[in-house]
Amino acid sequence: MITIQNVSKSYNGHVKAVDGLSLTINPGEVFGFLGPNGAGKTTTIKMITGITKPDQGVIHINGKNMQKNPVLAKKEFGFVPDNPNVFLRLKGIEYLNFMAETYGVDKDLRIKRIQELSERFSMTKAISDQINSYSHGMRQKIVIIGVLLHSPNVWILDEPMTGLDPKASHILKEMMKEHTAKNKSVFFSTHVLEVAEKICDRVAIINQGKVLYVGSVKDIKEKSQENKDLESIFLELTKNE
Amino acid sequence: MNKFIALTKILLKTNNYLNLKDSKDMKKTYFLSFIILITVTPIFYGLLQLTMSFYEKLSSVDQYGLVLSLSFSSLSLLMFFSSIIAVMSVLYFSMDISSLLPLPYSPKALIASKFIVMLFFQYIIECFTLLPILIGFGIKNGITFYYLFYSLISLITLPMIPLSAASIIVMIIIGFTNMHKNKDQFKIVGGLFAIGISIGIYLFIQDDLGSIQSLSAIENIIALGNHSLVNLSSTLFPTTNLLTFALLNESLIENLYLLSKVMFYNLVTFIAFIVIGQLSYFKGVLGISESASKNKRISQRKMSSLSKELPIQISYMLKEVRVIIRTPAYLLNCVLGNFLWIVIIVMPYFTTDQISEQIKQVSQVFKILNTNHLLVFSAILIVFLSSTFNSIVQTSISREGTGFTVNKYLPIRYRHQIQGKILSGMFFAGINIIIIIPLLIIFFKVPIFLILVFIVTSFFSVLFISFSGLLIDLYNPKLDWSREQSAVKQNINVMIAFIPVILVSGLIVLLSFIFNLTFYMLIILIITIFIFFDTLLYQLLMHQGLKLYEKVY
Repeated sequence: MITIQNVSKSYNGHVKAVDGLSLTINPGEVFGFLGPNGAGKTTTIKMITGITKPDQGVIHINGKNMQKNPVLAKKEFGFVPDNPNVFLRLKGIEYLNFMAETYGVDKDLRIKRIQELSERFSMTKAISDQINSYSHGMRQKIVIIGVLLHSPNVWILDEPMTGLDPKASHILKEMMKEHTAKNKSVFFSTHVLEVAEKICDRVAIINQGKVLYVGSVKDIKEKSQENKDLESIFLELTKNE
Repeated sequence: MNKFIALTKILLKTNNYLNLKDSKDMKKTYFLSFIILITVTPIFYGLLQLTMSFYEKLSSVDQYGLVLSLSFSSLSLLMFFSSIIAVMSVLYFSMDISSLLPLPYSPKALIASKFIVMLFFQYIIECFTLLPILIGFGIKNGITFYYLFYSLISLITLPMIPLSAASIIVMIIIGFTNMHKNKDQFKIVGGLFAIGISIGIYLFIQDDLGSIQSLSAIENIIALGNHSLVNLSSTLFPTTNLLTFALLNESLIENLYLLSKVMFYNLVTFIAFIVIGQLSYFKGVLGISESASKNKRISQRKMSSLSKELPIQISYMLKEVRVIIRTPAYLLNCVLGNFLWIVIIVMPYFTTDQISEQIKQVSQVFKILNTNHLLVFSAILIVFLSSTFNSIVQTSISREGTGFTVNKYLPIRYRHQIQGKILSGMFFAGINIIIIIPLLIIFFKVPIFLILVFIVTSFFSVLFISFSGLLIDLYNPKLDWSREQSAVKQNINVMIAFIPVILVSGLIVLLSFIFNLTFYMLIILIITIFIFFDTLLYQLLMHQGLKLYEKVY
C-alpha cells in the first residue's frame, strides 16, 4: 500500500513540478499513473522511491515513512526505472546476486527465485553474459527480475512496457494480476492507454503537477457523457493545460 | 559548412571539460574556480621560473633556444600519447556516437568536429604548460610584436600534428582490423598499444641520443653556439624546431618561410587525417557498440558458488571493483597506472641474465645507505602515491554518472554505500601491498617487523586519501558525462584531491625536519598524523558526507 499525502515539489524554487498531490494505492489493486510529458509523473515516482525529497507532504510505503525510515520503506517495494541501463558492466547473474544481497534474500531462496524468474522471462541463457550485451528489452527484463527477487509487497514500475516484446509484456501483465490477487499493490506509469484500460483497477490522470482525476476506468467512462474511450477522455482532460 | 559549424558548436557546448560550472550554485562555481587557481598557480609559476633559470644557464653557451625546442618536443610527445586514448574515447566510444551516426553527416564532418573538441582540450592544457614557458622565455629574451605573434602561432599549431598523428594511427587500427568486434578488449589492447608505442619511442630516443659516440662530439656541437643543439633535440615532430627558430629569429623573410613550412606540415597531416577518416571512420565506428554474448546456461554448481551471502558493504565493493575492471577507461586509467611501477621496477630483474648479481648489487647499494628503512619508506610512498594517482575513490561518485539514481532507491544505507566505495580503493591499495611484500622479503630481505610497519602505515595513509578524495567528489561530482574517460580524466576533483595529500605530506616533511627525527619516530609521527586526520575525516564523511550524498541528484 502506498499513501501520498499533500506532496509538493518545486524546482529552482518557483516551478512546481508536483503540487499538493494526494493518492492512496490500496492493497490488491493495479494503479495506473497517466499524464502527458512533463506532467510530474517522474517527479512523483522519484519522491515515492526516495530518489528526491518532497518539499512538503508525507509518503508511506506499507506504513513505512519514506522520509523518516528510508531504508525500511525501500525494502517494501521493487522499482523498475524507465531507463534499464544500470550496472551494464556486470553480468546478469552478478547483478541479480547483488540485488539479492541488497534486499537480504538468503542463498537458497535467491537461487530458486533467479531460476524461476529467469525461466519465466526466457533469460536463463542470458544471465551469464554482461548486461552490456543485452538488447533494450532484455535489460528491462533483468531489471524486473532483480527487483522481484525479494517478492516485494509493492511494485513501482516506470513505463515498464517500453521495449518489451509482446511475450514479455504479456508475462509482466499476468504477473501484475497475480501479484494483486495476493492482496499486494502495483503502481505503474504509462503512456500506453490501452494497457491502462485493460489492466488497471484504478487510474490517476495528472497534469502540471496536479491530479485531474482518480478513479476506475469504468467510473471515468460513465462520468463522460458520450461514453468515450480512455484516450479521448485523457486528451479532453489534458487539452487546456 | 554551416552544418559542420553547428555540429562543432554543439559538441563544444556539451563537453563539460572540467566540471566547473554549476548553474544552480554560483558560489560553488566561484569556489571551484578559486581552487583551480590556487592549484594551477604553483605549476604555472614553477614552469615560468624553471624556463628562466634554464634560459640563463644555456645562454652562456648561446644554446638557450634548446629551452624552447625541448619544451615543444616533449609537450608534443605528451600530447601524442595522451591523444591516443583520447581519440579512441572521443571518436569511437563516446556515448554521443549513437545519436550522431543517424544524422546526415559525412565521416569527415564528424571527425573534423570531434577533432576540434579534442583540440580545445589540448589548448586548455597548454594554458598551464606551454604558456608559462613562452612567457618565461619572453621575459628573458625580450617580448616583441613578432615574439607575441609566433608564440600565438605556436600555441595554436603545436597540438595539431600530434593529435592528427594519434588520430590517424587509431583510425587505421580500428578501421582496418577486426579487433573492434569486442570493443572493450580493443580499448584495453589499444591502451596497452599506446603505452607500448610510448615506451618504444622513448627507447628509440634514448638509443638515438646514445648513438652520439662521445661526449666530445656533443661538446663540439655546443661549441658551435647559435642554438646548434636545437637540431639535435628532436626531429620526431617536424614543426617543433621550425617554431623554435621562428621564435628566435628576427629576420622577417626567414620567419615567413618557416611559418609557411609550419602551415604546410600542419595542413598535410590534417588533410591526411581527413582523407583517412573519410575512408576508414565509418568502417570502424559502425557497430562499435555491439558486444558479444556467450548465451550459455549457468550450471547449478556455478550458480551456487556465485550466490554467496556477503555483508552488504563487501557486495557493494565487489560491484565497484567489477565495474572498474570491466570498463576499459577505468581499467586503463585507474588500475593499470596503479601497477605500472611494478613493471618498471621488476622488469630489469627479468630481462637480464645476471638476475642474482643485479639483486645483490641493488641490495648492497641499499646496505651502504644502511637501511631497510629507506626501502620500507619507499614502499609506503609507492602505495601512497599510487592511491593518490589512481583516483579510484576520488572519482567513485563521478564514475556512476546518471546511473547514480540507482543508489537512491536501493535499500542500502548511504553510510554502507560510502563504506563500500572506500573499500574499493582499499582493495586496489591492498593488491599493491600484497605485491610489494614478497618483493621486499625476497629481493631485499626486509625483516617481518618492518613489513608490519609498512602495512600499518600504508593502511592509514590510504584511508586518508580515500576519505578526503571521497569528500571532494561528493561536494562536486561530475555525473553528466558522455564518455567514461571524462569521469576519471577530465575531472577537476582528481586535481583538487591532490591538495590535502600535498598539505599532509608537507606537514610530515616539515615536522621531520624541525625535530630531526629517526626512522621509528618518523613512522610514529606519520601514523599519528594519519590516524588523527582519518578520524576527523571519517566523522566529517559520516555527517557532512552523508548529507552531501543525499543531495546528489
